[in-house]
Amino acid sequence: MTALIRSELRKVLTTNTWWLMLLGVVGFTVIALLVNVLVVASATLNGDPQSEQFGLGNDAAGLASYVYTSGQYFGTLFVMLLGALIVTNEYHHQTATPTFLATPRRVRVIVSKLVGAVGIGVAFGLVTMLISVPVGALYLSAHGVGSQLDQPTVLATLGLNLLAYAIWAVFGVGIGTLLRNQIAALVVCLVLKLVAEQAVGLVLTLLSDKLDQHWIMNLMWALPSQASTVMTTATRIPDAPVWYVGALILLAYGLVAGGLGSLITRRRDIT
Amino acid sequence: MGEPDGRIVVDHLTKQFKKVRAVDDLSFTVEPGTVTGFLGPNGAGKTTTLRMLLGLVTPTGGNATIGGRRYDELENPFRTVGAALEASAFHKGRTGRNHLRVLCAAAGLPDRRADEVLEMVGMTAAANRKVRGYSLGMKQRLGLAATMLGDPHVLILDEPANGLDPEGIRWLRGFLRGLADQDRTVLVSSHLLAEVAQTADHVVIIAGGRSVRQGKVADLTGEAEQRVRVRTPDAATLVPALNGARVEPGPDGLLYVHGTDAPSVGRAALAAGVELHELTTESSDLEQIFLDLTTGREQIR
Ligand SMILES: Nc1ncnc2c1ncn2[C@@H]1O[C@H](COP(=O)(O)OP(=O)(O)OP(=O)(O)O)[C@@H](O)[C@H]1O
Ligand SMILES: [Mg+2]
Repeated sequence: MTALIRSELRKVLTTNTWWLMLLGVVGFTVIALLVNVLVVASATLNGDPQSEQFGLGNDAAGLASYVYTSGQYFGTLFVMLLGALIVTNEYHHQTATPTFLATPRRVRVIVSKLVGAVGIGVAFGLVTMLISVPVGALYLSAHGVGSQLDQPTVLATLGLNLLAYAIWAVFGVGIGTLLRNQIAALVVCLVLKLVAEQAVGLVLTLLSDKLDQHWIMNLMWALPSQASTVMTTATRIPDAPVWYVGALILLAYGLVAGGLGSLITRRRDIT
Repeated sequence: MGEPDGRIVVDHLTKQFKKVRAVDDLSFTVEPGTVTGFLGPNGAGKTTTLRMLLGLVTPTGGNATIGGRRYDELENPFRTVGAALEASAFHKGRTGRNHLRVLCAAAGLPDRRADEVLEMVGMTAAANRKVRGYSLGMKQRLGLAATMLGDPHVLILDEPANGLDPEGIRWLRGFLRGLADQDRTVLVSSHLLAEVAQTADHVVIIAGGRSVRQGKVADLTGEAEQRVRVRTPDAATLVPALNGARVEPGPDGLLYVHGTDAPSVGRAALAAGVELHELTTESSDLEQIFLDLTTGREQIR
């Protein structure tokens, strides 16, 4: 199995996609960090009246967590896309033939891809934190709040940030396995992450208003991005489930997609 | 070096795609120490058969084994079987050397094997270039290199000569012959009987997914039939005068007469008072035998 994982990592590292993706992740992290520090943190620390919309109030630990996880939204998107590409590339470039010749037990290949994608996802997450934690800590210390790095909730948030990168990678591999058509898989990833959320949220809001059933709104937490938010917020969000419920929901999506995809892949003709 | 017994057995293999019966109740065996040519026109089902043999396509019926085991039951397939199926199964943005190193990792083979097999196929100079910039023949060589990574006992190659230059084809022939002489099993597909006749000991010829002929190459060449090529403005008079010899019309009023010789045709024409514009003896070559065996079935499906 380790040999297979090594082979999968090699596949990623011997083509260009990974560093283009990493460049994207770093770019978005830097932009998000600048906005979070210069707009959100600065307004909050100055007690600007308009800073109330950020809801970070006097919570220094919350503010630190917010700054340290800069870039998570787009970073996890890129990791998800990379996860999908790791699978669909095999069909797109017809390398599925040599891959399955080397490893005829196809589920092993998919499991190695999952493990490899998680490793790369976590590595990407670490890179973003190498940028946002030092910069954020310097800024917060300079403004008299301190780095907050001794606060358990802040440390937990950093760990959960990495978990988010890992789980979104699993989700991406799952979608790639299920769909195998490269364009379709990438579009589904983008839609799930960027569009579906708002659309489904709107429908749920309308339904719960029309039917006067407030519980319908809670279904929202089952959506991937909301589950991710629940998971990565160390402090409780009102009305939301506990963080690990979010993690389990998100992981379930990835594993169900990957599991179904594996079943299909096992029987699929490679022609 | 893998299985002691490298016999390939294809047993009543059938594959029904949605609309097409690509392979239809096909059976043959390939013995170690021989080169077997696997022949058929476009769409005959060669690639589909090889893919079923290699566990890439699930048969609708029958089974195919190598050394008594299905491909997906082999513990370390690269050490037993080397296979090259098509010249396009590479990531264009990866170098040839890295392609092989990815496979080395997956098969648990040392990375130096990548360089060794590149040397074997004469690709060392292009090893660190991306596949995007390879010619068809170079991709064929890279595919061939991959088959040798695990020093396998059985080789399965789908049209390996496609895209090779004359020097490459000569090299390939010697290479395959050498492998068979080391008692390895070699199965190689082609469209051209003449192409494999020089190397192969046996042939399996299929058309429309079915076997039309199997046997020793020597037996096939022994059958090369003679025919007489005749051109005349008055075929209507000549044909009845040929005493029932089988006549096959060709283009532009040409006639091919089977089962007789040129002097007899000439004599018959003289006796019947028919004018002849051409009279030649032709020996049908291997390609003709192949066409005779497969025409009528060879409609591309
Ligand atoms: N995945 C598929 N789905 C449907 N039909 C297929 C598929 N793969 C092959 N076929 C059909 O099966 C038949 C046999 O194809 P195959 O590729 O095995 O022929 P071949 O002998 O290798 O031909 P060629 O000499 O052109 O390579 C063809 O009619 C082809 O259209
Ligand atoms: Mg073919």
